[in-house]
Amino acid sequence: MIDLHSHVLPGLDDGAQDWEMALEMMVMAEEAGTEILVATPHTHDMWHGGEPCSEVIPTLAHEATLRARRAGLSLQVLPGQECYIDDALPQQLNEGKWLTLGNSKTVLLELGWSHWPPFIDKLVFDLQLAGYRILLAHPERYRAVLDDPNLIVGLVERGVLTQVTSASILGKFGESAQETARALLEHNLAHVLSSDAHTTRGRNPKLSTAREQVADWFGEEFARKLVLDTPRALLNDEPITLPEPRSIVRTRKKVFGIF
Amino acid sequence: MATSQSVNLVTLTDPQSAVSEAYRTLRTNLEFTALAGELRALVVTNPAATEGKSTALANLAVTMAQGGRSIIIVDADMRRPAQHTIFGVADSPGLSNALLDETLILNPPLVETGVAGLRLLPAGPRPPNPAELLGSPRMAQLIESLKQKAEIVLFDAPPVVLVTDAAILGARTDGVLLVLQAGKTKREHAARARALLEQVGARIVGTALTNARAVSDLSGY
Repeated sequence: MIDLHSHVLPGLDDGAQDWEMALEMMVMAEEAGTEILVATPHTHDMWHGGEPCSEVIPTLAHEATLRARRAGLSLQVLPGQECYIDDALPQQLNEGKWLTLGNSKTVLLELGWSHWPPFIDKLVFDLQLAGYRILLAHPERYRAVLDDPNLIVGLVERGVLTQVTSASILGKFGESAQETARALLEHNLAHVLSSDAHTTRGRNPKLSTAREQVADWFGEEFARKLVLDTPRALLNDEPITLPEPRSIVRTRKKVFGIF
Repeated sequence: MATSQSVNLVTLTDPQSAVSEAYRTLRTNLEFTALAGELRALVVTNPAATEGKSTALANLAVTMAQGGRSIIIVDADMRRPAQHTIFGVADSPGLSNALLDETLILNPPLVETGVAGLRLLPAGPRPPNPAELLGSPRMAQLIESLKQKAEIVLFDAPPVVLVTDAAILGARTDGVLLVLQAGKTKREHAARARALLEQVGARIVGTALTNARAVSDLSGY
């Protein structure tokens, strides 16, 4: 499997605290079947000067891979970032201030939790004009999307791909995030499954359980695309044929839970 | 997003069919219309959203290319682009790129369609403000630039009644062809489309009726 979203590099953000925890996370990832783990530290935790991300992150990702080797793992850690929404992103990415996923043309984009950004269409357009592909991080965790999942339809029609998080699939962020993640998958509105691992507990890098859950829902081939085929195509900047997105028609809240 | 060439291109897959013959008639009629004035940049659109104008435009373009003309299709429906799907090519780079990058005005990113003499400028990334882009001075420059590169430039534009894009383009080109679908297009939509186009001074060169029931098979003629 290829995990495009993780906070495995120590000391950069709210992910792994030290190399000990980072190594535990890498062991966990490999045991679950992950071969490539993209490290995606938050840009908004790295605003405050210091060494540029374009130097720090590749160096640490390389060190993580070396430490994995020394521990007998074959896991490969690639540099990346989770880019917080900002209208200057195209320029900042061009200048190398922030990193794409594994040096590809794909940007992992994170939105604010509570409000739907009014300028998102403009930002998507500007990023695409600059030659970037967009992978939207965990749509199922934004308040605005929980209220109206069809906000994602317009983005997907514009060529944006989205990434659901394994903990959401497993219900660890509550029923609402789980239902939304499942609905997004079912309506061709989500395309990648990643761990967004921050630790060895809660949001951990074990992708296999969520993959099995998705396979239970929609079949093994569907699940494999989310954790292997599509992530690989994104990392290699290959064309991806996506199924037509569909709007979600919400049924009324079930009155009798068991039916 | 590459897909294989669409089966909707009947003029390519079945040139002897009655439908292909109808497209040839349409081509001839447009050629006669052109005698009354220049007709080198033509907008093809429909009143509302269901009349299959993109397929009609693609077939007309193929027919014109088969007649020996050099043709460029511009997918100026940057809201719901379809030409790239019909011809099985990538949707970017395209029109929106060309309108926002000065260096591309003279060399827009045209792609080969696989049909001799027919090239396509796909829509490109979808802009948040398509009407504004189509009304920009750059668009006027691009239209001139494209006319240097082909004998006829066909623009696929969004439905007239829903958004202003087609009217804006219609006013800047030599004419508009309205595609109506038998049994689908509403009378009041067609009338409204005509009024909107006339308001901006666009020249309606004709209407094409699709999905009409064939009355006879002329293949033995």
